[in-house]
Amino acid sequence: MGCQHLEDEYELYLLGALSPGAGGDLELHLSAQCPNCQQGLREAAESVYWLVQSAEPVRPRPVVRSRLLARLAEPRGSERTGGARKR
Amino acid sequence: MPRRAKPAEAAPAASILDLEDLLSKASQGDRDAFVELYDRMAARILGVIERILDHSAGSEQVLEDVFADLWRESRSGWNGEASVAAWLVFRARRAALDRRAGRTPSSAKPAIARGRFAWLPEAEAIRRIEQRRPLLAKVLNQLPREQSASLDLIVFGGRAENEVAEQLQQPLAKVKSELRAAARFLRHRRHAVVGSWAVNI
Repeated sequence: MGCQHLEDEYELYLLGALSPGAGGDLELHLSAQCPNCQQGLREAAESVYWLVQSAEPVRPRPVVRSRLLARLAEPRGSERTGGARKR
Repeated sequence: MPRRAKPAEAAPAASILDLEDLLSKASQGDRDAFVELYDRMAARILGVIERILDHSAGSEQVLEDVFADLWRESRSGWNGEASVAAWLVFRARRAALDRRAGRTPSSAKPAIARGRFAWLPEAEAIRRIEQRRPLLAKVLNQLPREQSASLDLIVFGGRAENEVAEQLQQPLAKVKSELRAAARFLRHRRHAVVGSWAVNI
């Protein structure tokens, strides 16, 4: 499958930024297991990682570490699911 | 209040080198290894979350949830080649955008968030990027201002390109063209910086 026309869309696709209705061609290639597009996406993900990592680090308060430790101690299967808990 | 990390505290490149080893130990139930992984990456991941949530309350809860998700993932089987740092960064971005939009985490839209490891870079690829981090930071500053502003709205604002056009009051075709140009520029520079291409930066 020719996919040169899709090369510039990989990063935007991974970022969920393509306009509504766009990206259909890329989805077709991916559902057909197109090796070029799969490799292209993997490489684009490196650029996306680099972009997102440009945010300035912020050190969390120690209490976050303590709460996380308490969650790790919970038996498997009883852990709270992400985002379900209110503070 | 969370506090901004000094550069030295922000997981230097060397500290991400063996995150996969730590996660492998965590998958066997080694909590100390997992906590060490948290200590190395938490400031970076909270930085992403705070940037998206604009320093509003709830950032630390998202951080905690993302690491709790990683703990669960490690216990249910991890693709040994996938980068842990990349997993954290992608998951944190998605979770923060979901929280900002009031969505539940499970309704995340891009495939990368639905598939557990689909298209995640391999650990070795992320190591190469981390080793060139200062140079890559310089590259981002070379993007034209309009492209940089559009990318910022997408990466940290969760906007789609049509929403960027609306917000910046620019024609959609122009925004699309600039975003694709930015993607090409970044791809070229990434190859140059982490690969063997010769380029002046």
